[in-house]
Amino acid sequence: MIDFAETPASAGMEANFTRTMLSRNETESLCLKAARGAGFSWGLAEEAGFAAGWLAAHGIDGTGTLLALLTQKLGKPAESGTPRPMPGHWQNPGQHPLCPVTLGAALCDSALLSDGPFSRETHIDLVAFPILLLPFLARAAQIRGKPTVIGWQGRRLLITANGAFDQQAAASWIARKDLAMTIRQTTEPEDLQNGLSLLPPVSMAILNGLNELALRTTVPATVASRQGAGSSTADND
Amino acid sequence: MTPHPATLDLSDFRRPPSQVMRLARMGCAHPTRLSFLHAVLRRMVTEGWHFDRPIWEIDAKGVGRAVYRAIGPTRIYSLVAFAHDLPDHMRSDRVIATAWDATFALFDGTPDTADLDRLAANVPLQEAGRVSSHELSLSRANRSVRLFAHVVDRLAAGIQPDAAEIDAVGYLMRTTAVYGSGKFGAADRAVIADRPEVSGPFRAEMLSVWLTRAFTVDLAEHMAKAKGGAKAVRLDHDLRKRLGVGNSTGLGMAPFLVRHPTLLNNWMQAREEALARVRAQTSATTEAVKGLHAALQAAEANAAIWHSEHPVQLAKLADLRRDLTRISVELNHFPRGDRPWNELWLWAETALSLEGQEALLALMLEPHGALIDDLAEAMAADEATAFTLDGSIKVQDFRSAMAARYGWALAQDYAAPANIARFWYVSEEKLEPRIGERFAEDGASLEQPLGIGRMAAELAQALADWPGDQPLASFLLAHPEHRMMARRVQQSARAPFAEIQDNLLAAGMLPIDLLRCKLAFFGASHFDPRSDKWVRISLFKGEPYPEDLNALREANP
Repeated sequence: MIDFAETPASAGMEANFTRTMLSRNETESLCLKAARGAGFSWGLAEEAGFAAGWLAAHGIDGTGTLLALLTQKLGKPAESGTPRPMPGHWQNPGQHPLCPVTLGAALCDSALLSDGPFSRETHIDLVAFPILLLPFLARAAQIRGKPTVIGWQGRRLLITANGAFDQQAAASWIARKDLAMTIRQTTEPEDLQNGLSLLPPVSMAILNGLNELALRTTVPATVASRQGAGSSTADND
Repeated sequence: MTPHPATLDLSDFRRPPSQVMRLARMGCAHPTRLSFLHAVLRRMVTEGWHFDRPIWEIDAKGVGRAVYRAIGPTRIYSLVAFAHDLPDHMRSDRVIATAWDATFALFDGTPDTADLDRLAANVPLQEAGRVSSHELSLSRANRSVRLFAHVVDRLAAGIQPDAAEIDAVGYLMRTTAVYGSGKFGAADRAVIADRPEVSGPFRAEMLSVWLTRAFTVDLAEHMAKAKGGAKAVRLDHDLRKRLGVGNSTGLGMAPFLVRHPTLLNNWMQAREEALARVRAQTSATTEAVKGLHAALQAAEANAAIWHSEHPVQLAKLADLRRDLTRISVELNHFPRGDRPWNELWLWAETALSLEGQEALLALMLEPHGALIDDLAEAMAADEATAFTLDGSIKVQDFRSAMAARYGWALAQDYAAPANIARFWYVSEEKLEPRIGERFAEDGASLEQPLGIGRMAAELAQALADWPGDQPLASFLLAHPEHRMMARRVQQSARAPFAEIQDNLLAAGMLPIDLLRCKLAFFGASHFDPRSDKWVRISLFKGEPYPEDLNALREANP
């Protein structure tokens, strides 16, 4: 076949390697499947893949955070962590923090709405693993073609109209389990440039965890399915 | 001067997506001059690329390594080849194989010793190894045991192999997987997206396969020399040319066309635009008429040696041969009328089978390089941009846009068992895409989202009760299960050929139709199904070798 066999990203990596390099494509594809395996709809699973791939392309390893999110998601109802958008306040109707993938996708979907979350200062209730929200905030700024300022606990993070972001401020999000924030459009001069980043190495243990979730999307083989898969003639000719 | 085709109104000459995007027709696709392997060869000729083989460390048993370099005006790409001694009982074309006759990587640049050692430790393992962002593709090939032995034995004895034997198989080795685009650690597409020579779809993969073809002949000649010594001869130039590289492929590639709607659109749209430009011409030059006749002759010769034992393909081959004869008769009166190419085309739509029509399409494009070759450079897709949904559109507007474009999907009854008889899934072992019988096999709850028609109908149904003045964003927040399909609907607004307008879950659906369409875009000839889900093809048959391009370059510096 040419390309596109669906193969596990960690296939063949020695177990004693503690970290390895994944291409962005591998990160996206593995995280999509893992997110689907953890119960996201296909469309949101695609968004989870996008987020992990975007972070990798910006030098940030989001795989561990995503695995933590997906593991937490396993025991919960599918709609858990879905925001309730109100003017000026995106609320959390549930007990657990908002899901950064569901929230992020919804913020992007609403980016161009005249009464949407970027049309005025909007408070966002506690969101889980905020680093996973960053790719969506950057995409929303790009959709709008306008810079965004995110504020929390007296600190701020600027995202430019082309999606470049204050890397130092964003770094403080990486280890955070949750964060409430305020977003607003700004007219501040843009002087941010994100240079090219190297893809980050990924932990084997985390890869194994994601692969385990990805396997939940697969079907165990049967005699019938094995028979149908190959050529009906021999390969030794 | 004729106005540039892009500024002409071609709408009268374009085929609608409802005609083009049907599985039965896609399953009759023929390679054209826009196909990826032709586009790669054309660019290398135009830019005067040259080729060498700086490393050849292969022993008498045909085991070792070699490097082939493609040297372009700005960059070098190297095929690193490892030849193995594979016992017959281990030879399998399936993804479940763990060893092969030869394994390859396409390296970005010229590899040094450390690169070669790193690749030697990983490439022979294929999926069980890792490559790096210095590699653009990873692949492997198995010998045609019979033809390879025949060629080596004959050459060793100082005589040429039998042309009929060569034609019957068509290749010394067939690739069983060619992985690109970031697979197993290889370079992401983004790495090569700004390189015109390889940014087109599958160009790096095609370059790798073309260099692999040279390697297969070199290996056979090398083993013949080792066996026959001074008696051995090299393979005759004409016989070499008749050899391509085989490719053996199964369901694994079928979902690709469904998962990459924008890319599929760009391939289809480029081909259809080319046909429209040709049809719109108001004359047929002597040169173009000559080119059309030459292309027909080549197609007839190709059809004559195109073998298959599969009943579906046998029927298509009968259609093809009959229709090529009809075309040949019709060309006695060509050109005629104000728009001779359009008249020929309209005749074909009434007189020929789908197989014959799609073959004629390829023939009509062939003598029109100057008119259409620019379209081959517009077949890549920016899928990252297409990924973004616009949630600000009102539900009522989204609904009517959808009704206008997805009639083919919405008209089906997805409660009827025959319309949902199949389901696509990924097998737990080897993570292979497979297709199952919904009412006979387990696993439908883990179905892959490839039944686009049914997904569209489900989305339309869910939207029917949603307030029309609400933004799509509010619907998607409440219904994340429809997000994937909503994204496709928006993508297809900008990409009329994005959707295959057939039900991929239907009982009678033939997966090989998807494979044939995709492989034709690669440039594959001799499509030979081995079941309704498995196929062998030949790539680069009849095309030049690296040494031919070197000679051409020396003749036209």
